[in-house]
Amino acid sequence: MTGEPGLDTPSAPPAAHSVPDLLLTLRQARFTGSVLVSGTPGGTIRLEQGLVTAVETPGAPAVETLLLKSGRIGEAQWAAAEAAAGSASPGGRPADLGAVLVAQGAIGAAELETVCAAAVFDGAFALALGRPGSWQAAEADLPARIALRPGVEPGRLSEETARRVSLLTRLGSPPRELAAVRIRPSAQAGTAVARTSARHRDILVAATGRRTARDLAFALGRGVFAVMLDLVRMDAGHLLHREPATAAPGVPSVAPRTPPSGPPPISDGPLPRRIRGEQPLGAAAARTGTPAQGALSAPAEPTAAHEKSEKNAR
Amino acid sequence: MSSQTTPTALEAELKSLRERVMGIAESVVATADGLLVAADTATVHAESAAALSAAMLGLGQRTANEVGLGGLRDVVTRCNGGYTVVLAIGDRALLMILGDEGLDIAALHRESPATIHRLAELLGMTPADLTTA
Amino acid sequence: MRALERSLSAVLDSPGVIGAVVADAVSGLGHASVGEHRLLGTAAELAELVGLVDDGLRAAGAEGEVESLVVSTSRHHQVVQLIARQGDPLLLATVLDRTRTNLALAVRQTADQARELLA
Repeated sequence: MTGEPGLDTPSAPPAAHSVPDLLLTLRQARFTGSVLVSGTPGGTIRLEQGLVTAVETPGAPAVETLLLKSGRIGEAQWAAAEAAAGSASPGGRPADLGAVLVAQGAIGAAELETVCAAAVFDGAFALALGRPGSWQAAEADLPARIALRPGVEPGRLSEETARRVSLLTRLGSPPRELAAVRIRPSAQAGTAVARTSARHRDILVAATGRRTARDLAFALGRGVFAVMLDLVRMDAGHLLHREPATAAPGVPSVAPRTPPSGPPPISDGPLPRRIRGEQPLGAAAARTGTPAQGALSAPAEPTAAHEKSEKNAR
Repeated sequence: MSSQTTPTALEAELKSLRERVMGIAESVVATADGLLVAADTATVHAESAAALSAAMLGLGQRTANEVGLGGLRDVVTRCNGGYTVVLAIGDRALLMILGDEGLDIAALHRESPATIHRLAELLGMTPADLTTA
Repeated sequence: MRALERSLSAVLDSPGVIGAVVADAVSGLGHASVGEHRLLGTAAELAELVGLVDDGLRAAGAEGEVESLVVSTSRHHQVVQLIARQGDPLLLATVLDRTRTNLALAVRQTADQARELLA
């Protein structure tokens, strides 16, 4: 977006303190294009008339993954739709893949909308858990191939993201910490499995001790937030065992990192039970990298309280 | 071979890469002729992955020479459920990475040079071995 | 207007229905709402309710999956019907005027509507 100087730096103008602020500004301008967010994870937020039609990020499954991994649509059906969408408009932009899937009878329009909307909100949630880098708006980008139309109001998106973060925090698992935890079934899970739901059993089967909530979401074709909620509920039923954080190799990453702004919000919620004093350097660095302002603004965690408990622990 | 054995420095390095880059599921270090050196795997057969990735890398290097597009950077296979990426470690070894379809390619490009460098060190290579690759 | 909103508007035409909500039954994401949907609470509250009931039933030893929940007040019936599908289930919640429908009809009607909603 060329008209507004400084949108590409997080610190510059009052118009863009954060990605949510930027999205609100772009909504007023009825902007069509993309917002590219760099960070861990980064992502692309697609906008049409300022409404969010898709969020693509390594942090959460895209519509394609939700449809294919859940078994809702077969690989052959998907490939056929892609071929039809590509050939529908020779020379021009490929046709809307979602419309083709509906036209081919692979999925109903209403159901596809629910999947597209779920992917938008889950992608925004995943971006909010990441360490934000910079962001910039780009007008020229191609529209998303499969998207929610009309899109979501940016204000509603950040409200829902805030609800998700605060719900998990209220349940005792601040999502930024939960995101780093790798899970395997607990010793008790074997006997309790008969009483768990099919959904929770799928998680138990997929939880190899190597996977985070995000990895489970990709493996199962579900949303990251939904998997996290299930993990918290299963944890309450003592079905899960958290793998201890691994000792990183002696040499920490030499790659550039975004320095944390403000005091590190160290939290001591119950889920990631790391033993204090045994934390590897790398893990500590990863935890303190939590931004003061998430990419899609989750409310800041009560830093002061956490600092206090940190002092008490010493 | 599984990640359950006593972790060597190489395995720890692979595990660390998996934790730094979203979407990496498994990885393997092999010699250039396809013999397994170290693995951070759960489901794939590490020996087979090592052999196949050596073949992929060799084919990629020959292709790069043939088409004249400069030196090979990496060999990427895109599947419906994810990616495999094969990277050379000097001219004597290689790293194969399996990722899901959300693999953070940008992060992989950012993190992999340092990982390749450390793996090379652990394999007893000198910086000269890396630059001549 | 989106396709889902159109489907949900049709639900309002049924006898006695005065409001309806479609939400993700796990994440609590609200997909659409019509009429006097505020009587039903938010989408997040509805999903939380389903989760609580499910947990409670399992803890008590019940097997199978929750299909529907019914709450009756002196003025309304509220029916929450789960919509199973590949992937996480959705829920359709309707609020019905007690003077214009009976409980059996309300439950039956909501189950039928849930089946047709995603078509």
